[in-house]
Amino acid sequence: MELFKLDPGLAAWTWIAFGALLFILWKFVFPPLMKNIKTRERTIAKSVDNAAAIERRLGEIEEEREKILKEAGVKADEILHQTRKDAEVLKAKLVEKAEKEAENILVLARNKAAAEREALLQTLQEDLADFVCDASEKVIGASFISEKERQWTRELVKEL
Amino acid sequence: MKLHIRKITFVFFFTAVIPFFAAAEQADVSGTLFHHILDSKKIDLFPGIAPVTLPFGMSVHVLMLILAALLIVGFSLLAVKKGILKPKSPAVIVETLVLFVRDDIVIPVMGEERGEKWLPFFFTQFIFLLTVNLLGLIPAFKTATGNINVTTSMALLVFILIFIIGMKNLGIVGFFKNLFPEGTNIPIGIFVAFLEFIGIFTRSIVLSLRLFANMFAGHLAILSFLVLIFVINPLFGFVSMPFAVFTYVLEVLVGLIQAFVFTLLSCIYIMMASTSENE
Repeated sequence: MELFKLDPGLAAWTWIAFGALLFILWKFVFPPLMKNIKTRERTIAKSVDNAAAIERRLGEIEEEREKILKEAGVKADEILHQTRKDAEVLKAKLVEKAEKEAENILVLARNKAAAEREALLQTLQEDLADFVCDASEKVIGASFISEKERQWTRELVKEL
Repeated sequence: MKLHIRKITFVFFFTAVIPFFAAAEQADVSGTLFHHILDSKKIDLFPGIAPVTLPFGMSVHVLMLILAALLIVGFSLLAVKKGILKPKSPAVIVETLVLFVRDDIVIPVMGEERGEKWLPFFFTQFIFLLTVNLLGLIPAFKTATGNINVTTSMALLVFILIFIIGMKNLGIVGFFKNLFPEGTNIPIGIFVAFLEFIGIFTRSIVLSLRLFANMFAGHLAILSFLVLIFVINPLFGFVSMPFAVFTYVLEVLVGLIQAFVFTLLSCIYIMMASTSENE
């Protein structure tokens, strides 16, 4: 039957074609092809490793950030608390100082007012004594009052 | 895309069916069928043109084998010429096939170290059979793997390799000793060893017959559907043509599967022969 006819020539050609193909592929195609594949596989593996390392580092940075934020929060609270405390102290000191100053100013003002009042009273007494002396001279119509008597009048007015 | 498929299908059936009209007028139906499958020294290049006699007494199947080898070499050389990190289409196709053979056939069977060593052989076997299988689907071409001489030669190569690799790895005595089951008496051991030897031989024959039968039967099925048009009625073409198209598409899948099966089984047989029972 022609279907199963033995054909040594065709069998030999099969081996020749396959052998030649195997030789060419083995010698010229496979080395660069496998090199390309390995290079790409290595690159991909490296990229995957890098991506994993980056992800890991990102996680660490995120953790670090959260820690820093937490610490900063705590520190900020502490600073705020301390500042409030300091402000309270400063405020108390300032209030005390202001009160003292106001008290001093008040005392000074009182003293000054008292001194001025005293001076005014003295001037008024002297003027009154002079007025009394002048009036007496005018009434009598002669200048009889000496400086000594004037002084005496002044002291009298003072005692009133 | 759909338009392209329609165009290709039309061209294929136009070029495939017309020679039938010519052949059916001259010869009987079975003669026409076998004329389009069996090997010959003449090739029908185009309908209406007289068959061309091949030079150097070459047959169409030899031409197909050489053409397949040349196509693979050309395409592979084109593939390795391109860039490394961003490969172009030929490189993508070749590398995909190499990785398929490596990751789905060779390494699962042989392991990484031995698999890397054997990869060029099994890749060549796979790509060669695949190309020869698919070349037969082009109008005017014939499937060389539909010839028992081609498939037997390929299987014979595996059969020889089983012995060579087995003896190289286990030693001549070790190889034959491996055929004897442990713990049996000598007469039964010899009988079992004989059966094992027949088994190696039979496996190779089955390897050859499986590929041949699948490829031959596939093409016979396509052509049979087409021949029905002349045997029954030209109007029967409306029924048989869709079936022929379906079988044609199926044949692409069969070509791929058979190349895969042949390579996978070759790999398993060589691996089985080169490892002792204890391994």
